[in-house]
Amino acid sequence: MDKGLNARTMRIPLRPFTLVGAAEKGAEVTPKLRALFPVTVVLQPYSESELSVIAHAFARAKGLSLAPGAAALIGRFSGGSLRKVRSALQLAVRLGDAEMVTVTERDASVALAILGHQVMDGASSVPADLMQLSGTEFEVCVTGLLQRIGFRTELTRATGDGGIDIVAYLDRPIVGGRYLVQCKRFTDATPVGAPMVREFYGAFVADRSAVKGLFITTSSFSAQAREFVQNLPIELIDGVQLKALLAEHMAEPS
Amino acid sequence: MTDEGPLALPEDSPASDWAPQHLSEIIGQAQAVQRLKPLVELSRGHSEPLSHMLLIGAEGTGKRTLAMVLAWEMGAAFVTTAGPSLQNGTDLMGILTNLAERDVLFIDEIHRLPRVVEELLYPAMETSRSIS
Repeated sequence: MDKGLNARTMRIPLRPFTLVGAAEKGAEVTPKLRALFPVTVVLQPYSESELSVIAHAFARAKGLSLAPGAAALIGRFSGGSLRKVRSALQLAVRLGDAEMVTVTERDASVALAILGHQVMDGASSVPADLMQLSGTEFEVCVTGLLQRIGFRTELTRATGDGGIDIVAYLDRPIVGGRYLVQCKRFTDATPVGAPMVREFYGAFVADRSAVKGLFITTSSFSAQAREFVQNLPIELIDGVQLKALLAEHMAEPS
Repeated sequence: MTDEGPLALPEDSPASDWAPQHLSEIIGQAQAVQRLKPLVELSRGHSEPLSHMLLIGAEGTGKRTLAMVLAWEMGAAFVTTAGPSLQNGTDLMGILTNLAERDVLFIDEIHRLPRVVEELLYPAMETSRSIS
């Protein structure tokens, strides 16, 4: 069918125009076509800081502001792609409160996680001092650890989650299932007490479908808290254990 | 299956969102911008179309955005299509004959043009070649 049409020689006058062709790799384009382009421009992946600036610009154009932590997260974890910066931002805006004018770090990290970006990966794997992280960064760090162990993870929204920060899934026989995780970034001097752990257990029971609860802190747990979880499917992970886990799982390249 | 037609704008097109309009507003890509600026000024000064160019870059590096900025800088229309949408020569000829002078035609994934269509593009590019 094409044959008849294309076989004919046609002279159709064209107005002088500019053709801008795009491809991911130069080698994909046939040599003949490549030779017809007088100019070839190679675009470089964006740096983290450029992507943060771009995220700010996107937000500003929508009449929003971006928390510095949110811009940094988007810049760092959007995989160097403008499109991903844009979609992370759009999703973060939708996740936030309706009247919200500032995109928070939390919304940004939830959005990135939903879009399937490994929100903790590569170079910056083990933070030297967990206390230097913000609450959200600490959750993101724990998320990264769980992902390295083999979990699929979801960060939950900041409020109304009954203290559940992360829902993690392990697709494995016997030990697999839905895990609920709470993260508390406390200074060494402030142990997690029994009331918090009890509240977490309440949320765990209410969930009904989780196989295990993980309470993870940078500090320690009080004796009463440890006593409370005996014989319960709740595991307490204190700062010492967490550091050991981070060192074990995050140090080696994935 | 819907027939979007080759001129349909993808839903995530920067046109619906924030996009720079001038080369100077582009964040990053300093090398590319530095090379293109004099080229744009020269073409504009001579009222000539910008020379054809091939943009190479991974997904999300801003190829489409850059092409839009170039059209804007040239005061010309921006027409966008993609290699896989141009299934036959008629699709391409329809677009080409409708271009006004100096318009910018952006063909994304140009390496995925069917062979017959690519071969039609050769003479079209040569007849409208300008500065090099």
